[in-house]
Amino acid sequence: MDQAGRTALARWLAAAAGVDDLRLVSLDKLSGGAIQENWGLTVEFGGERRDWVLRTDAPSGVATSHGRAHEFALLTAAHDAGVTVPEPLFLCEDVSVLGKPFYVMARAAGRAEGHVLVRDAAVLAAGDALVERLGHELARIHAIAPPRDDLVFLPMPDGPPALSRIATYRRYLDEMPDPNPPLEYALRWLERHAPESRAITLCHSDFRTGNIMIDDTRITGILDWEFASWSDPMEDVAWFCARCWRFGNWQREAGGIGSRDAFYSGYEAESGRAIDRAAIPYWEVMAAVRWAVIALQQGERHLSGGEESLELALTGLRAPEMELDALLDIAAIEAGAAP
Amino acid sequence: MRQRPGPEELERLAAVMLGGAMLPEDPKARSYEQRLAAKALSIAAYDREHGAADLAEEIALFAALYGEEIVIRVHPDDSVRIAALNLGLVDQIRAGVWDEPTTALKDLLMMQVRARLARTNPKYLKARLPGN
Repeated sequence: MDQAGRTALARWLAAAAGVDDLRLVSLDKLSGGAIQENWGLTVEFGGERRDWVLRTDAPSGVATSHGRAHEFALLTAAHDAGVTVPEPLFLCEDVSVLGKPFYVMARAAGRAEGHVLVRDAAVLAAGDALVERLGHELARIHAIAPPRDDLVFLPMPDGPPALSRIATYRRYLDEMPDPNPPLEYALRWLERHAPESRAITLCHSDFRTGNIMIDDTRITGILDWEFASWSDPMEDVAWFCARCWRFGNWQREAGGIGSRDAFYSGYEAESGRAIDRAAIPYWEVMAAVRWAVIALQQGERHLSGGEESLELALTGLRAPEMELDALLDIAAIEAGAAP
Repeated sequence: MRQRPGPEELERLAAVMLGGAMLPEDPKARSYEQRLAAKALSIAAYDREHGAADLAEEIALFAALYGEEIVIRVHPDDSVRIAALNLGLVDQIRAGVWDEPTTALKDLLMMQVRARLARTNPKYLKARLPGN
């Protein structure tokens, strides 16, 4: 960000915070974020320093992710519901400030990288206690139910959420030139076995290791709300437990961190509702299909000629991992051997 | 049907990423970019060694599914034939033709996934399907 941008930002932040002595101490782009850009900033006013994060659009995003204003509304709704999220502070929809909308939130301490956390001795030692608390967090998210005036931008699924997902993933596959029989087979199986959802709630829709900030063994923030939707809460439960989000630590079925029982126990204690255990294997097949489709979409960004990138091309080539998971999970369900 | 990109494209991308530099022999000494390039080159090497055999196996499994005469009639060129067969199969699956999957279909789908994983992530394949 150039000096003019920094000056404009500092001026806007001072007005938003209602102070006249705000000084922008530092502003650094944070790593990660193919869909959003995150900037760490430190400001000083009233004699105190504060660490914040500014979130705005990356040059190339994914079609289904929410805009920053919607994401700010989701973060605010979650914060108000008692979910551990970075405190949402200010939203700026005036594009004259930075050229695109952005919002600012408190900076959560800790780290979120999945492949690091599932190998961290302290995290693993506290694994069951951590995932039990994550069960509580997820249940608080699922306590947010439609209709909500502040979340009217979230579309309601037209029929069972599973069928809505299947239609979306087929549409994405149709946008790609290469046929994929294993994924089509999994989608057809999902279509034929789609459950009637018992409830529709707010779902984070990317609640997984990698999107949860942990400081030592303390949960400091549920991050990345850009895919949140009204859906079947079991979809979130299964996404967290799906093999593809255990980062190789497969024995710890809850996010590569702890046991499934501990995660379920926290969720049930907070929500007062039983996890629909019969539905989870189904939604884990859906999780594998979804991540495979996303990987293919990333690969297609390179293959279509839109954005030459070996990293994107190799991400697309990860899809067969999830294709295998889907086929093996379907076989296990049909053999009555699903977890 | 081999997933894109193919070996020529992967080698080109690796060359661009390396910018003419050599890969360090010790994998631990490689940077993130060098690891990506090494991965691309290993996939390209797999393609050159096993690509033809994988294609032949896939066509044989389509023949087991549909009958050899039907598969031969699709197109004389193997790469065009396999693309057409996969396109047709996808349409059939979505239309419910294979709702009661035969062993031949399951074998074909599993072979397709195994071949792709042997190419891109053999470690994952071995972990999930010991013996592969």
